[in-house]
Amino acid sequence: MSDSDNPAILEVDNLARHFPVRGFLNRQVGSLRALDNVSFAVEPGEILGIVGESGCGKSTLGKTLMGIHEPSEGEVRMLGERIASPGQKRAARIRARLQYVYQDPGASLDPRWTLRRSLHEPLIIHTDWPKEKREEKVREIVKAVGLPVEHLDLYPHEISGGQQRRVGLARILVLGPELVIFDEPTSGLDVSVQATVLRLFRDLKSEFDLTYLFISHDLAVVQSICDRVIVMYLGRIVEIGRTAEVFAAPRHPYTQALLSAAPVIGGPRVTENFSLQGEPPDPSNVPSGCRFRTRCQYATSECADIDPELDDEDGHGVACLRWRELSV
Amino acid sequence: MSNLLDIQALSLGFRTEKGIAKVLDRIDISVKPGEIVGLVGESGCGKSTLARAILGTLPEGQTEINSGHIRLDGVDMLSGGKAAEHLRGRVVTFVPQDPFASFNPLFRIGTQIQDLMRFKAPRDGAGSFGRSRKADEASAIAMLDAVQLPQPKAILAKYPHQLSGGQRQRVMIAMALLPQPRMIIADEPTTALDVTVQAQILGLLRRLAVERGVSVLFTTHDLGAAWEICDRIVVMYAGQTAEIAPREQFFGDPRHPYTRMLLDSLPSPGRDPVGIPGGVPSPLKAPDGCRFNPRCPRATDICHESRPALTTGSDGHAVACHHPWLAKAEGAHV
Ligand SMILES: Nc1ncnc2c1ncn2[C@@H]1O[C@H](COP(=O)(O)OP(=O)(O)OP(=O)(O)O)[C@@H](O)[C@H]1O
Ligand SMILES: Nc1ncnc2c1ncn2[C@@H]1O[C@H](COP(=O)(O)OP(=O)(O)OP(=O)(O)O)[C@@H](O)[C@H]1O
Ligand code: SF4
Ligand code: SF4
Ligand SMILES: [Mg+2]
Ligand SMILES: [Mg+2]
Repeated sequence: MSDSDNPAILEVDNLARHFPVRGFLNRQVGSLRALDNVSFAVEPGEILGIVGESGCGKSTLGKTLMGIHEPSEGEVRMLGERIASPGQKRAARIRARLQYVYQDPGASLDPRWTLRRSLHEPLIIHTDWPKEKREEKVREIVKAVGLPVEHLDLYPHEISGGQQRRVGLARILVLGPELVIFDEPTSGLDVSVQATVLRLFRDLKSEFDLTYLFISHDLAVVQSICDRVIVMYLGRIVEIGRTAEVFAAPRHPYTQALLSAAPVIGGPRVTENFSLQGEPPDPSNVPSGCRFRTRCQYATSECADIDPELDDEDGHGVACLRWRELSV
Repeated sequence: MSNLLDIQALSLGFRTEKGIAKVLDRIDISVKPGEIVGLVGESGCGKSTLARAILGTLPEGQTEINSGHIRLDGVDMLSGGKAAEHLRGRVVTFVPQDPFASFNPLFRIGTQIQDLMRFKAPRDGAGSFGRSRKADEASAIAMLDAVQLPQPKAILAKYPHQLSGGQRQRVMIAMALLPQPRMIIADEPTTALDVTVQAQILGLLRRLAVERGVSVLFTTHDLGAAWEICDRIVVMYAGQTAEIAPREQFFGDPRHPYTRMLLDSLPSPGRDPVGIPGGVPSPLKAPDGCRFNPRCPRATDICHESRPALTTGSDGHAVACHHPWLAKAEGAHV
């Protein structure tokens, strides 16, 4: 799967996460398969995007990698060391090297604390640094994310949404992570603010040698910032490859439909011939075989029987039984 | 064609503890029958306030109308008369951004639709007596069908939380359609939805305009969505009209500095988006003159002193700026 000689920073093997579905008297009556059979590797220094419709398991994947959810099956390795598997206690040592940025950074800031206190807090928890050393680090990072140092005395409600995101980022960066998982980092931002935030992500990445997992359902943002992209559907990876390649020549019928739904300024109106109908099925009752078959215009009877594996060609993987014949 | 909606020089503010928030400052907008007009601008620039002014849902006792008028189908919507009240919910209806907040969580969808019909929907056939439940249900189902909801009968029996976001938004549009309005105001109707669902909903709104002649005023901060369905686009900045242009001209030949900078902020592969430094000013202390002047690279003294008038060219392209970008040469394309 790898397209370079660098060892992977993160390896994900057959990862699954199921949530119990409970009925009367709290008895488990079923299982919601939020994530199934997910495997991929993250190269050091890349920005790997994760896209897909709401509920397809993007956040569950991010949180399972982070150890917020325990895997139901499979394992996650960081620089060769196993950091998550069923029943495994989390290695605290590795924790600070992998960070998760929640969608709403305002919510992760305590409204009663000044920004200074919010930024010292992670260092108090994770290091035994004296106050002066912490303050020095906090100031360095605050400058790096483009906030005036005077803002350290403000409270969250006194700064704008874009600035809150910067503080949220600063909170993560003070810990010196290697891999940062962003969950919908630009949703709800105006394009004018989004543009500055995206540039900041790029600048910080090179300044601090970071690797990003970038969860988003904004295809234009993913296309502009990610080196590679994973497309998910109903808990599965259906396609993975270099962003430019996947956007230019999507192989999976679902990726094709997803990309054709996004408006292209200057292009034809997509609403006039958009074909994908309805919404994804309930993940507590997934279709047999290929999970996309209930909405796929190319589905055959075989698709109901065989669950397609990722078929990799030139670092571009696709999970569809018919992609080769459909691409000619 | 004459305008269905005609707003001219509308200024209004809200009384707050810290003074008057001057939220709309001489806004001009018009919508023709069957036309889809997009109202775009950054968060806080007054899009929802304008929608609420038309719908008559601004906070009473807190709002000050300073100038201008809103006319819908010739009726003065600001006078507070009976005629205006009659139009609201019948001739003009509303699709909100967050459909969940607009449903009563305790009642089934069917019950809520029936209540709405009792008050607002015209009856087929004569006589106000003997309005039958059956007929109501049939027209509700027809409407859910029209917005392409599968199994409409089953949907009527569900509670709001049992529907997905896309399904709720479709029910909202169906409810907005029931009174057979001539105009729908849709306030960011797809912001919370996936692109796949957005494409379905935008397609639906467009078909309504093309096939039934319904006008749509569509507020959004998503320029892609505006490209997708609008005939004409109005850019608002901090409560002022900045530019009005037909869709192709808006994207291909923007003249207002703010419009240009908005378009340059869009992410696109292989180019660093530029962004706009600073933020939308608070309506409590909006700058004098052109409100964009603190963020505008083209600003000069006159921009701080006088408010540029909205000037319409022969091509129907209107811009309010002392130093607009000049029109592109003939033959330029999007
Ligand atoms: N803690 C949980 N308990 C039970 N089910 C859950 C839990 N978290 C997520 N799910 C379910 O798992 C599925 C995947 O959810 P997830 O939040 O990962 O989706 P997502 O791709 O991040 O969607 P969105 O784009 O809306 O954020 C959904 O069906 C969701 O309802
Ligand atoms: N009742 C009120 N009292 C005082 N100020 C108000 C009131 N309602 C709205 N405002 C202010 O009016 C301005 C415009 O708000 P409005 O909601 O119309 O913006 P918007 O363009 O719809 O933004 P968004 O894209 O975030 O929905 C904001 O600065 C807001 O704080
Ligand atoms: S495996 Fe079959 S149903 Fe699935 S995407 Fe391919 S053609 Fe469609
Ligand atoms: S009037 Fe002046 S400040 Fe306003 S947009 Fe035009 S050049 Fe900029
Ligand atoms: Mg999520
Ligand atoms: Mg609004």
